[in-house]
Amino acid sequence: MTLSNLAAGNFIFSLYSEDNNGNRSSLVSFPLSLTQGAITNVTGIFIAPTILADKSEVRRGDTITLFGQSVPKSDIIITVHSDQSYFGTTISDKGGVYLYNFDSSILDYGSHSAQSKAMIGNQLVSGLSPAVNFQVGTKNVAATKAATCGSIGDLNCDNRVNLVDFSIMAYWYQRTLSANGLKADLNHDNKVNLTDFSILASRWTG
Amino acid sequence: MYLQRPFFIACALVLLSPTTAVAATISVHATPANIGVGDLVRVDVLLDSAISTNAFSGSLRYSSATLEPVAISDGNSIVGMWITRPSVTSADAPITFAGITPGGFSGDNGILFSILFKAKGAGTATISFQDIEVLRNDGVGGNEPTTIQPLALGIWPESFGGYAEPADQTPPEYFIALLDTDPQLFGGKAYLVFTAVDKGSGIAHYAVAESRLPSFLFSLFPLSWNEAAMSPYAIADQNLTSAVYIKAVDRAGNGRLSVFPPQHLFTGYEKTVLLAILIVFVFSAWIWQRRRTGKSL
Repeated sequence: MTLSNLAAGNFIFSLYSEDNNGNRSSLVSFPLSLTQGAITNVTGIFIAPTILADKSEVRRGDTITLFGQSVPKSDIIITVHSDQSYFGTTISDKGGVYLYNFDSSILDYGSHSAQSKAMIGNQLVSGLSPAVNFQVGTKNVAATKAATCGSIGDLNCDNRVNLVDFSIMAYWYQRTLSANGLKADLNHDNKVNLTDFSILASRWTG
Repeated sequence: MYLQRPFFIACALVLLSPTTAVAATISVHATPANIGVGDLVRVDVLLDSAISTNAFSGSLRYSSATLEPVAISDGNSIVGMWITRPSVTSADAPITFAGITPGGFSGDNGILFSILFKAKGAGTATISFQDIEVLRNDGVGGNEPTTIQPLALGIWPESFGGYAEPADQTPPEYFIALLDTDPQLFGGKAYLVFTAVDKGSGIAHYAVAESRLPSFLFSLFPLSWNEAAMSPYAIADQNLTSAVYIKAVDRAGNGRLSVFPPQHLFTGYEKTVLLAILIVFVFSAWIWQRRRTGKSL
């Protein structure tokens, strides 16, 4: 990938990948200072895997399948966040697809989330994937196709978290919230402040 | 055994003591370091952060008896979007700022923004911060403990030459505008959002113009620029039949134009009129054809 005609100065570059199902990885960002007329090569960028769950709610004791895509034949480390974290490992296939069946019997009832990261030869380690949330309850509920509309930060439901969402949130910044403004209150503390912008920035898709 | 016991206790104290390392530091750096009355000095507001952070806010205070803010530049800033863009409002008002960096920043000497001060009195000028918030890029906006490093800047009675701003002949970076509507913004009218970056002197302002005319006619019918426009911008032509020209101008006067194309060729009214004209034309042609061939209506 080549970028040209950039002015000299400090930049922050962000990259993400999209798997063949249209699911996005989290952003990988790095600052870089560019000099006029010079070529700067950047290597060693390892983008995090994508991740999905087959259920939005799993009956306690059943398995929930966590899957996604990464680099072919890489070690995938799955982390399930609960009161304590549980780890599992698997290997992506030659197409980069990975799948891990997690036994939910060790989890309490309630909300949990899972993330994954990839590793090649114990040397190159990616960042963490976005978190996929699920419930442990009394029934199994299949996850629907990730409708990004309504996902955290997507205030105008265009399946992106970008400048438009920033603009809507900026409108509500430090204002009294009314019905439509509540969607900008991402941490549900009844105000739109810097914390909500931080959450928005962490979900940025561009 | 007597020698080993204190050693063990010392090790245990080290291991059990809370981690006191601070992950973020906000500091200021003055260029040049030596200035005199009448000199310009550039003060960079810097962030060091060991872990990824993505939101920053606070206010900067300075000795108004010895320093006068002249301009603010975000040219090399790590901040991608400003919620509150730092600006000079009055001679002694604090400079407040709030902004975000999508994807986060970690590293040393990340410039948040730079202020150009003019030294107006000899003595020691202090530059400090209040209400600093640095939030982690962790998805929940966790607060990052931050150390503040204020600056005491000595100002001599005689001039040293001061800071010379480099010439900026590079226009702002290419940028695009995005269209949206929201019931709460501009009463549900269509609006554009945009943001540009200039790595030299920094963005000074935006100007916006709308026109349905093709650009080759602009020499006859010049664009009427709204020089005080800012993002979000409510489009005047809500039929979205006009191209919207957005110009980002840096502090050196270099401009970069971005054109948001018209979304429709005609308004609803124009479509109705055109359809009526078309119907009349077809009907007239049909009548003419009937008469020409001698057929009765």
